[in-house]
Amino acid sequence: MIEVVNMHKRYRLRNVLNGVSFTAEKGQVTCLIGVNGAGKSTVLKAIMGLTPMSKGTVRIDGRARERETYEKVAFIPDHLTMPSYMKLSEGLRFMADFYQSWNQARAGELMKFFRLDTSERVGNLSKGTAAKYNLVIGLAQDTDYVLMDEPFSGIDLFSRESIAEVFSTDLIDGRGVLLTTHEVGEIEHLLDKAVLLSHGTVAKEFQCEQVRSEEGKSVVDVMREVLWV
Amino acid sequence: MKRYYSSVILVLLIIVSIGTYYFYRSTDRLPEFKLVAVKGDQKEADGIELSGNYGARMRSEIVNVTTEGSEYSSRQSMYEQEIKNARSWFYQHSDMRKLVKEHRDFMRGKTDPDSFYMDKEWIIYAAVSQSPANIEKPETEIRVQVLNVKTGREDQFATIISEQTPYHNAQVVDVQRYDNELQILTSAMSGTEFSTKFRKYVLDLSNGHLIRNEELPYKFIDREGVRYSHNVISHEVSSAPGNYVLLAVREEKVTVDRNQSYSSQPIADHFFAYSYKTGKLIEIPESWTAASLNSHQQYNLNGNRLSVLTYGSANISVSGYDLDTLQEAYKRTSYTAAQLGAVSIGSAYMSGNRVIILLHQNDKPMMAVNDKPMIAVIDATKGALLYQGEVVVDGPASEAEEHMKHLRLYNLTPRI
Amino acid sequence: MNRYLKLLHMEIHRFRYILAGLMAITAAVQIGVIIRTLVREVAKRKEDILNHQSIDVGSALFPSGKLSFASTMFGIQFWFALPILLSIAVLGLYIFLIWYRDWFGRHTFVYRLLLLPTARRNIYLAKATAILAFILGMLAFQLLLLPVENVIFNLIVPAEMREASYFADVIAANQALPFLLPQNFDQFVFSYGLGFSAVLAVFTAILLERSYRRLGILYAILYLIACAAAVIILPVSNQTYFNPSAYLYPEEFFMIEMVIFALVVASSVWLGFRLLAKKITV
Repeated sequence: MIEVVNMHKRYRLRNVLNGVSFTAEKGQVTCLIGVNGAGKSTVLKAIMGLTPMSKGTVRIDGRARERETYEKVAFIPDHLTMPSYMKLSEGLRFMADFYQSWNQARAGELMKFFRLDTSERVGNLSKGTAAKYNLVIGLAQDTDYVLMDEPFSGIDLFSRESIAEVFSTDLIDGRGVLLTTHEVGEIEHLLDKAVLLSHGTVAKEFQCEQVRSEEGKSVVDVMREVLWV
Repeated sequence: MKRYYSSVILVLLIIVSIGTYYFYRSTDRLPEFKLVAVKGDQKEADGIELSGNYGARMRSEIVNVTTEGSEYSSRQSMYEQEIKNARSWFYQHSDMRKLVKEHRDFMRGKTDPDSFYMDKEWIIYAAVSQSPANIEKPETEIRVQVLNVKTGREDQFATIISEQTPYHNAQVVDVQRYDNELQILTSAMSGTEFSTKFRKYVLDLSNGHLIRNEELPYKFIDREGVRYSHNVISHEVSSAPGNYVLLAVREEKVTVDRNQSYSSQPIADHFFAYSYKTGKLIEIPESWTAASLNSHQQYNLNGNRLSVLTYGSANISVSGYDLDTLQEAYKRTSYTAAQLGAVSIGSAYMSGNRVIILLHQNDKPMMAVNDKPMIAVIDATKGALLYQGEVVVDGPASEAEEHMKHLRLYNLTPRI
Repeated sequence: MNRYLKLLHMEIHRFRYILAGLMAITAAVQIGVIIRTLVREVAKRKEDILNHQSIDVGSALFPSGKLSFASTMFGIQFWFALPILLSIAVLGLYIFLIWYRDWFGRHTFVYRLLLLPTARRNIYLAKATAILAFILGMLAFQLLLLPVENVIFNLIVPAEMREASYFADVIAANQALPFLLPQNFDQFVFSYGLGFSAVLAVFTAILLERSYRRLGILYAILYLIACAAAVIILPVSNQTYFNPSAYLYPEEFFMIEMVIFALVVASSVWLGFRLLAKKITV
């Protein structure tokens, strides 16, 4: 379980995050929802140690973050973070070099699934192809958790469908997924849990299926209720 | 492993290239020279340092040679050149080395050997400074630091003395102690006349108060066309107790031509001994100095004895006189260059009773052709030749001649 | 250790073309100017011989008047030194770019580095070692070029016009080389050690900027000023060994300066590690 407890973050005298607490369980797809600038990316980056928190704790399976954590939690940022001059094959080899949790076979499968050419250079990829490669790098690791920052934004429709397909394969099965998005509508059916972020705190944290069956509301409905205040 | 080629090549390149360079450099040796004894005990040559340059390279290399070997300054690290050899002019003095070793904190920031007095009980340091020359009331400030070695007690005094006329460039020339009187001899440029004044300040050692303030009867003032330059010679060991100080005055004729260029010609030399006891200047007889304006002269003061060393390129002589009795202290000794086994005399200095002489095998020591620098050490009081040594190449004989050809040693560094 | 080496290799590998380029430019310019100068000089001397004019007119440093590799080096100061200066400028710039390139551009590689399952200090150490490797590498390459250039000299100048040179003289003939390649190995370690401490201080300044952004620029500048102040405080307060009335003895001055340098290095490295581990932000 990923636990975020009382996370605060200041940015230029403004409290971007003002006491955010929630959990993301293993085996579930949790989604951080909020308007643009609500701090969703910041939460993910803070969990991964890519930006400091001014206050708060993050625990992953009960432990604080350390270097071994990176073998257990994979992060897929909102853009591809491999150098432009690298070939796709070199990028995969880079990951294999450093991560014990790297699964070369699965990487190969994913490359085939997304129809990516290993001899292509990162700098020459289109936005959609880059997003796919980004996913390969994140998902080919045998990690317990995968964090994804805006995996669908700015991607063309067909690429988006391709990516959404991945969610239903056994690649995601059993792992804990925490993702952020501001376009909930399209992926609502993939989500297990939703955390609504508003004005630097968690406005509502709920299980999607439960709310759908008990209150008959979709996630988007809940959003409208809670966030448009 | 194959894909790490770029890093491996780079690292190998660095190690091989730089490693070879410094290893090769350590074998690209400049030749080693050494001072070896031809006659006499090698120990007599301890502390003698010859310096000059070795010219076989594109830029000539500064080299020092002693009995232990040679040292090239360009091959030393900056630490050795700047830090280890810093203030070498100061550490040349054996009494200063002793003081630094035994009283390190007392000696901080003090680097003028003439400002010290040391005997079995007292170590005294005096510094003098004066107010700027155009102030209404000129003053001299004397700062004294006293260490009593027996009791370990340290005292500091700062005494201000009003002067009647302004001075500048005041320096301490000698420091002496008689019972409880501290006598500090200073020289300063007078602000009103263009001349040097010598003053003696007598202070009470227990509290630093001024007892009296005397001006030495030094009567040489620059006038039209004539200039006087002076040199004060205190004891060879500057901190030693003594009763005298020597004053060498050179009278020079000065001409300034239409282009404002300035030339001077020596007219005469005068020598005086200042006696602390009587406060008078004793004129030293001409016969003692055998002054010749064409030869080198050195004066050495050791206790009451004045030694006069005179040398030219062909011969050298030394004589000694007792300043108390004004009689000869020891018979004059003379040697010719030939008697010392050489063609010409390069330079010489006196240290205690000994005269150390640098000799050359040709009559133009600045030219390196056919020279083999030699050292002779003479006991002045007995007139005996104690030591003769020559500089040789410390290495294979086959290269010796080639290396010696480029060696020019023309300086002796005295070590007191 | 393993991951550090892999990171080091990555840093070297991604710079290899620029490094090779600098080496190529250095070789091309230096060899080019040597060839051009010598061909002209040899032709001129041949003509002088035909006109029965003496060619062995010596100078102070080269008394025999014959051509030697050292005398050639002496005459081509500017062009020889130019690629060296260029390399220094490029490497100097890369001290900054080795960090900033991971933040700039579309694909911010810094994410990848910070997400690696390795101690963050390995990133710092790899970049520092890489810079050192590039500097020493260029130095090593220049050293290797010299005998090659000597061979070229021997090929162009006929035997009767030339004489051999001591390698030490070849280095001394150029104004820049004796600084880069000191005579004494102790001096080499000392000089490059000092230079490298400056690099580490700059690294920490960069990390301060990257951790605190706008305020970080101020912190970075203040940090560099503090390091510089610590180092020059003794010389400025006139306590150097060439001031006779200085309170400190020369060896004490040296020791204290060394301790100050060690402290600057230690604090730079420690601060750099901490910033990278806890305060850095993408």
